[in-house]
Amino acid sequence: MTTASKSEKKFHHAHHFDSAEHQYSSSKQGIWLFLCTEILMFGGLFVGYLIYHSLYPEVFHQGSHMLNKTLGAFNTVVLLFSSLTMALAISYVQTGKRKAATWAMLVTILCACTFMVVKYFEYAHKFHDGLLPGRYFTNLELAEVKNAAMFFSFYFVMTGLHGVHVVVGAALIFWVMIKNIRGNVGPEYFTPVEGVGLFWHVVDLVWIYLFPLLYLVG
Amino acid sequence: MEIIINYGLYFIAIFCVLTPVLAFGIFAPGIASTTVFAFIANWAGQFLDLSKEGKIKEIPFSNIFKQDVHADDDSPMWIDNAKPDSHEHHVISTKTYIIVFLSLIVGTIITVFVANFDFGSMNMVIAMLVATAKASLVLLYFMHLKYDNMMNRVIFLSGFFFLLLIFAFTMGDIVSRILPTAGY
Amino acid sequence: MSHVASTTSTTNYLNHHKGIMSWVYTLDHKRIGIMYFVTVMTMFLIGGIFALGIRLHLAKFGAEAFITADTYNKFMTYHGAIMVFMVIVPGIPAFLGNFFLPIQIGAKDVAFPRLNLASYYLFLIGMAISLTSLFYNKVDTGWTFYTPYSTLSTSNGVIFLVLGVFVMGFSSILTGLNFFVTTHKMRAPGMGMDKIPLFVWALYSTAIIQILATPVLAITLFLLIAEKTLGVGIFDPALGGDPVLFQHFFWFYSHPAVYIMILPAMGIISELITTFSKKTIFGYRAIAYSSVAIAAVSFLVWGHHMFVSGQSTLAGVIFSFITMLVGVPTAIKLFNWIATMHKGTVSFESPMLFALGFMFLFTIGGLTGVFLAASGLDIHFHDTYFVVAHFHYVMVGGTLMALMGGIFYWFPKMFGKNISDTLGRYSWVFIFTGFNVTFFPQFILGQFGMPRRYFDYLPEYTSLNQISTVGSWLIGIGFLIGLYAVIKGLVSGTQAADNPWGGKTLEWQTSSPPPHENFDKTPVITAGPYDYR
Repeated sequence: MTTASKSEKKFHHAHHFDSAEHQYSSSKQGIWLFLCTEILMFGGLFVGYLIYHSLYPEVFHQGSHMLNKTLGAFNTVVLLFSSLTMALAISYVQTGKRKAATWAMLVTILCACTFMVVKYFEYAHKFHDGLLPGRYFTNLELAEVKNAAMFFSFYFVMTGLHGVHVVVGAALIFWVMIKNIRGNVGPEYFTPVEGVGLFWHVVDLVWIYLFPLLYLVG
Repeated sequence: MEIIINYGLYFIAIFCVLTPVLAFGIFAPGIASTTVFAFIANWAGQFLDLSKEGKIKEIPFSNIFKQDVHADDDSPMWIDNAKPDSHEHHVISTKTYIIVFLSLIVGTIITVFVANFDFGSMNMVIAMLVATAKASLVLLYFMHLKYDNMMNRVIFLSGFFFLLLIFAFTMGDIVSRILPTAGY
Repeated sequence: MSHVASTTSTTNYLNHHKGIMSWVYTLDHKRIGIMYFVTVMTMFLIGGIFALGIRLHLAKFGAEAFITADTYNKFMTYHGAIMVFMVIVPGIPAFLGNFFLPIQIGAKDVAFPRLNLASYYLFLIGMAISLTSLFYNKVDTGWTFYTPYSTLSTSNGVIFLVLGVFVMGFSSILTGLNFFVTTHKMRAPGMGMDKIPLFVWALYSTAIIQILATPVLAITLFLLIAEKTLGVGIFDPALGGDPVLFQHFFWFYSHPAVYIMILPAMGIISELITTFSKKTIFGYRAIAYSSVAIAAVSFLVWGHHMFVSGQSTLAGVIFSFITMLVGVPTAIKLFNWIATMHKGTVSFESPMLFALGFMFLFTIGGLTGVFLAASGLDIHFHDTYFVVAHFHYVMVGGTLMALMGGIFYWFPKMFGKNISDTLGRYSWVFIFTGFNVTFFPQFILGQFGMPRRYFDYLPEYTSLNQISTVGSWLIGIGFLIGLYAVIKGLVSGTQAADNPWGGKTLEWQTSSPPPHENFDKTPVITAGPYDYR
């Protein structure tokens, strides 16, 4: 069942472009450029992490033992699943399956919320154990590991920044979901959906690297 | 007489205390929050307003961004009048997506499994290889790069390349400066 | 070469919509460019006042010091931060780039006009956040915010200044993104990449740098704030961190940033030289590719700011070698400009004077950069006035000269009124002379070993410092004359022709000022951009 026709009459490409295709490919290029900047921004954190990991292997080893691998793996699966549902949502919008797209996006948002809830429990546990960044580190178990706080500094900054991106991503998916419900996107105009989807996939990408580096390899 | 004075005092005291407490403590905040929430609800409600046909009306501020209309002008610059191009957009099938997803899950399982063994300095390398394999799947299929033009691929991958640059040079400095003195 | 006849412009982008709200919500790249112009020039005035304060203090005219040591540190920090982040980095791209990039490629607007406006407002917001630190707790770290001083010892004003710069960084990224997509996707029919003007090539290369380098600044500043507020300890030796890591991260952006500052300026010079020599540019392809080469190589040289930071000798050698290479594309441009002028019909209106001034001053600045690239020499020169003179030669003698040249060149096009050439020449004389009087002695001071960012110095350096201060007043007068020329032109300038200089690029083929959508009919390109015959 396709409800494509509703959006067909509404979409009109922006004035300074020659055609809808022109606008679409330009917007895509713009989004990929933005994603490139996101990679470089997170990448800086990864570079810092890798450097200190090689300087203080023991700190990172011990530190990662204090993290809950199960919760981390669960979160990974949640995010991967949300990536799947987001990709499906885009293809549903492209083929005019409006209701299915809305459901898929809703599931994605729920996955994002699940991720944040799990994160909350993880953080609460850390606070409780005094496993805090830098000068707030008060944990006793790791007291004899010099500079143990360094691991948690990275942990909080990296997962914190990632968490901010998850929340922003969820808000953007919500925005696009509303657009979909109202019929402002459809088979001939789905650029915002695709753009938000690409952003969401980058958020997932970052976690794909974060999970082994923080939880496993330490 | 004394009853009036005694109970009157109580009455006055209660009245003089209750009034400000009720007014400032309960009614005023209540009125204020109701106003604020109602304002917010009204503002939000305009996004869900339906017009006559049951379709959602336009967002109020969007006319700021409205572009000019040139329905009466024939010159070729206003290509609004041209018919939309037909373009094929490769749509990846649901089946492919699900297969990719399952592969990613397998990859995750492998990552966790392999982490239980200690390969020494190869730990990091193996973890990164698996992560990169998973990332490639996400990039190629979920993010559609396999069917996209070369420019977008170059754009995104150049980000990784420059990351490699900062890593290589900085690590070079660290390796030649700190590690030798730190005794590792 | 194809151009369209311009209509007498009673309607143009300035009177297309009226009222202040039409400017606040404008999506027109030309208006956004003008807004950037006003903002950037205002910040230039403020940064300049800090500079004059510094010079007044260093002249030691009176028996008492003009300002205290603490205040001096704050003056030099704000002079640097304002000039770098609020004047020179946005300066040419956001103002002249925004205005002319779409016109020079025959487009109606940039690819993402709303993003363009968002960039401008982000810039304003970032500026406001940064400037609150002036009132809250002034920063005295220098514009480079080196750790551990900025994280451990100094006041919390750093957080505001750095947060503001973080936001302005996003403005820069989005502008770069816009220009990249515009250059790729919005060119007029027939205009291949081999026919775009060199100013567009320069802006394109700048956009690449903005997109790739600025995110690293973003994360560096974010880590700085985290270090200061959460004490994460990444840069704190007591917690196992490494302060030099901050420098690596910071300079990974800030070195390409200086090329963000200079590449658009070189693009303007290419335009000026060819127009005022009435001759096709010599070596179009060489200049175009050299812009991209500079953008690429600029990412490999950041360590030359860190030769004495304690970084390893190996790193020092590598960075030194590659830094020598990065001067080569610039030299290619310079020789091509000279070759363009050879046997051309050269005329010396004020834009050309600024262009020639650029060539002379940038050569000096660039060559002294090579001295600094040699790590052995740098050990002597690092953190002395030699470095200060070097970067002022390239940034003021380079970028600012080009900006002035661009303003005088494109003023009739932007506003439809003529700007006084005589005032332009006076302005140039004061700026050029004043500049050399201010900064040439600083090379000598640096060579004798006078350290930079110090509020005091040995007595034997006094006379050179005083000469330098007098020069700073001349520069000030020069820029004030320029400001007066701009205002006078706006208020009482005569009506400008569509093509007062006989330029061949597309902006001269439309009316002055341009209509709202830049052209009455989309141009179709059949020849190169500098088709003088």
